[in-house]
Amino acid sequence: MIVVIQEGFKKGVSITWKLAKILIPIYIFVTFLQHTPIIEIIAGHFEPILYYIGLPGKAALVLVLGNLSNLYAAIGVIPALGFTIKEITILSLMLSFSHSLIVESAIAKRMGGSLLKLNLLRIGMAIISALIINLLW
Amino acid sequence: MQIFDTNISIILGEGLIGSLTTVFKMAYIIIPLMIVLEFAKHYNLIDKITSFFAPVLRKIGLSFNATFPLLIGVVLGLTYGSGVMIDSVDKGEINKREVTLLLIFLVTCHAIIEDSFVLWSIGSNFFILFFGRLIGAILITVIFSKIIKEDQIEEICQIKPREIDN
Repeated sequence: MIVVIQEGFKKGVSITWKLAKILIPIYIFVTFLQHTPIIEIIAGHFEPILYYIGLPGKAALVLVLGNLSNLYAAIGVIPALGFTIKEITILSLMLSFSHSLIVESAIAKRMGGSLLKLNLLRIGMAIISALIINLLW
Repeated sequence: MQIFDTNISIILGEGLIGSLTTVFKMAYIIIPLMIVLEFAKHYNLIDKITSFFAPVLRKIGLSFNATFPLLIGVVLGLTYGSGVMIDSVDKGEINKREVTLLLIFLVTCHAIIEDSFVLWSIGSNFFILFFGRLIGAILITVIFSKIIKEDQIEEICQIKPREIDN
């Protein structure tokens, strides 16, 4: 019983540590970016597209990071950029369907899947779910 | 030259406090959650839940043998799920159609408890997140289970030996 608790605790601490190593540098980096005009410029480019799924332009940063890097990198950026609850929920749902595409493709490949189709499926699910939440909320 | 609109040490402080607060908020959730999941693994709870979910999953085209890797993947994560799945494939317990359906389900919906709690800790709506993802994955698997007939499996899932044949 105690061994199980210890084991779970160790795992929890190790996950938190792994997460902190990614999250803290990215959070600080994005905080610096926020004090420059760069984010505004990036956001301006994506604003017209992301408008349809209920997200502001700066969400592009989170989506790109989450899909190419991993979920925890995206999680590091979300609090730093300051979104509303609706925006965070839409972003979270999109990210939970489609994240860490590169790493997880390697796992899917090992199971014998078609990477192009599976990744298109994930991205498609992310976009459709965001459209639905944006319409209903 | 002025790149930033305020003093660098102020920005650094802002970043440090913000990131550490986020990490601690997540630690509060992740550590207890991992203890609970460890209990589930230790007492083979997923094994027991499997027989409960098997009849439901048969409706979306997955047999009893495919239910276990599915639940492992959904609860513990893609790496665990794929490990169990590859094991089941090697033993010949699940067929190619089920592998495809499993892949479709797991690739969209894995480690759902951990992900949902972590995203909830940064302010997302837990119920929308958890049930949205689950229902989405179930729907897409049902759609594919209707589309994929036994002879069309190669369309989505190319099993290794077949690649060699071609």
